[in-house]
Amino acid sequence: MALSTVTQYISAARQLLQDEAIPYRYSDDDIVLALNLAIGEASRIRPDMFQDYMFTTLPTYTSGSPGDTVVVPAAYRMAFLYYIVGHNQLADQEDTTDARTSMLLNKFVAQLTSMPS
Amino acid sequence: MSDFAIQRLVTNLLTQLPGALIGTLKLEIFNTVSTFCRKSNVWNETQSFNTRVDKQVYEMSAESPDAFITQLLLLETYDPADPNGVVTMPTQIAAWFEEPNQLKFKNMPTEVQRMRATFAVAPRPTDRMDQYPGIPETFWDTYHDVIMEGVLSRMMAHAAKPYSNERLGIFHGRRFESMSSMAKNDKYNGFVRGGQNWSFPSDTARRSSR
Repeated sequence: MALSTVTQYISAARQLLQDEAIPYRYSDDDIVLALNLAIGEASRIRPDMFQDYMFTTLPTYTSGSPGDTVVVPAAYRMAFLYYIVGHNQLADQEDTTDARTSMLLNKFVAQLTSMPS
Repeated sequence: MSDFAIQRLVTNLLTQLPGALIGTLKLEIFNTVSTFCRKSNVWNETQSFNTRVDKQVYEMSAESPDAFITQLLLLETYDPADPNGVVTMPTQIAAWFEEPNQLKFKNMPTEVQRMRATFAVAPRPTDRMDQYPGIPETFWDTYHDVIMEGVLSRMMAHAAKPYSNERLGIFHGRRFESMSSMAKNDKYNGFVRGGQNWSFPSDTARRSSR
C-alpha cells in the first residue's frame, strides 16, 4: 500500500517537492524530521490517532531505517504527506512558495479536523 | 464476546462516522455499554447465599468476569423447606449497599436464611480495551440499535473531528435515551408483549418539566 514506510513517504514527498534529481535540494533527514513533527502535531490535534502511545513516547523515525512502517491510519496518510511537503518548503525563501506552504500546512489541519477537505 | 456482532456494529458506525478510527470507536462502545447498563439495568445477575446470625453486612461481587454490581434490584428469602420457591412465596428483605460491594441488611439476621439477590451489573474497565469478555453474547444482538445510537451520539459530540456534529449528536443522544428507557421497560416486563403498555414519556423525567 502506498505511504506505509518511511521510504515511501520520502519518495512521495520528493515527487511533490519536484526534488527527484540528485543532488537533492531537501535531504532525507529533513523530510523525515517533518514526518516526525507531523506526528507530534497530529497527536495534539487528534489525540485519538495515537491513543496507543498515550502513556509512552510517540513513534519517531529516522532516515537510517527507511523500511520502518509508519503508524499513521490509512485514511490520513495524504494529510501527513501534505504536512511534510509544506514544512520543507518553509525553508525556501521564494515568495512563490509561501502561499503553497501555508495552503499545505492548513490542509493538513483541515483534513484531520473537518470533512469537506 | 460475539466477534461478528461487534464487527457489524463497528462497520455500521464507520459508515456513519467518516474519518473515525476503530480504536476510538471501541472506547466509545465500551463507554456506551457501561452507561446503558447503569441506566437500564438490563444486565442482571442472581446470586444465592446464606445469612449468618448476627452478621448484618455481606461482601458481594459480580460473578461475571470484568463486571461490577451497580444496584440491588431484589433481595428475597425463601422458606428453608422450599429453597427454590416452588410452593411458597418468597419474602422481600430490606437491604442496601452502604459501600460498593457491601450489602447491608436493614435488620440483623437472627437465623440462617437462604437469600436470593438480583443485582444489576455493568462492565468494568480492563486493560483489554477492545474486548468485552463478561458481556452476554445475546446482549450485542438484542441491544445493537441502542448501542449504535449511544456511540453515534458520543462520537459526534467530540470536538474538532471530521465527524463532529452537534445537532446530530443531540438527535442520536435523545434516541439513545428513549431506547434505553424502552429496553429497561422490556427487561422489567420480562420481554412480554403488552406486559406494560404505558410508561412515562422520557420528557416527564426532566426536572424542568415539574
